[in-house]
Amino acid sequence: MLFAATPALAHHEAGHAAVDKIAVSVNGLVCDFCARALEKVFYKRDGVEGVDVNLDTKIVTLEVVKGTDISDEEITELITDSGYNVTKISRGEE
Amino acid sequence: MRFFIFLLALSVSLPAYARPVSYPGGWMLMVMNDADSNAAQLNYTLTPRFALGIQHEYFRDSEIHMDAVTVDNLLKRWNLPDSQANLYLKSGLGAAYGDDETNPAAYTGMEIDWEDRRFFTLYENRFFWAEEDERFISHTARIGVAPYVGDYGDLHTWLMLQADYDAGKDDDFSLTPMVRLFKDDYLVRPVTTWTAACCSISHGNSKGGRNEKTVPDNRNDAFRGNASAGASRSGARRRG
Repeated sequence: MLFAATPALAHHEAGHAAVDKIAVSVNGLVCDFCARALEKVFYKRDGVEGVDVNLDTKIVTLEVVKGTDISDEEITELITDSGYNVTKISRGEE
Repeated sequence: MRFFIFLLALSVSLPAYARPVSYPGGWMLMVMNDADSNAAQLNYTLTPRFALGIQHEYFRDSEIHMDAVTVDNLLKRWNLPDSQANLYLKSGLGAAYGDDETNPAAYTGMEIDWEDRRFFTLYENRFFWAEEDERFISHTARIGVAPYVGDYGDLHTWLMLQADYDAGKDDDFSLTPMVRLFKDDYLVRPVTTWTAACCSISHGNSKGGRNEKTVPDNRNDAFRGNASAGASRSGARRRG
């Protein structure tokens, strides 16, 4: 349900590798500026294939190559350093 | 007290205001013009709470230039489910110079803002000091409303009203309505000056409105089309 409501992800690189989806609820997302900053930060991280920031639901959805080791702590740190607060992280699979 | 109404200061700019501190590794180039000065600032965010930059400012009436190293601190950020607020300390230290002499110069000021996707508010003050040249304390307040809430990537529109006050100047109060448009990937070209108000009504003064523009720095596209505008300053000045 969570992922079904998420718009199409922006894919960093073309590819059809299996991915894991991670939904991160974030406080403070109020503008495109926020979304753009988070995209830039996560696309620098190896293994991140797609980033979607939904300003309506305040959920950042990450697509990472299956098997990528990206912990909740790292995600939280990246988002916190970008200036926002993580409230919840949910992991799914495509 | 003078009361100015600028009917329309139409600007194509980026988000509702400039975040002096963005995120580690983020560059921003801001070009700011107001009734009294033109300024450009390039800053780099070193940590989530600290940005360092350089700024050049030119005060047209006094024909004084200032070059400064700038330090912007995010003192506090409140991230709420549907809104965000920030408290900044913005400072600069450098030199002011005219035709015949160079003097030390400095400024500092606080900025506090709050915004959600519909409304925006900001208050900022600034104390500027340059020996024998320019000295002023200014206050700026701004409110804004988005007539519609766009999705990520849409064209966003903000209707804003800005008030500037400086008790040390004859024309001490001004109001400036603004329309701001931005779109996620809109790339503002690096134009160094920008005419402000297109129309104005004032009481015995044809002072133009302030305008601001933020330009992404091409060395890092982190803010392409997203660097925000709004390092607002009062247009009031007082000779030292």
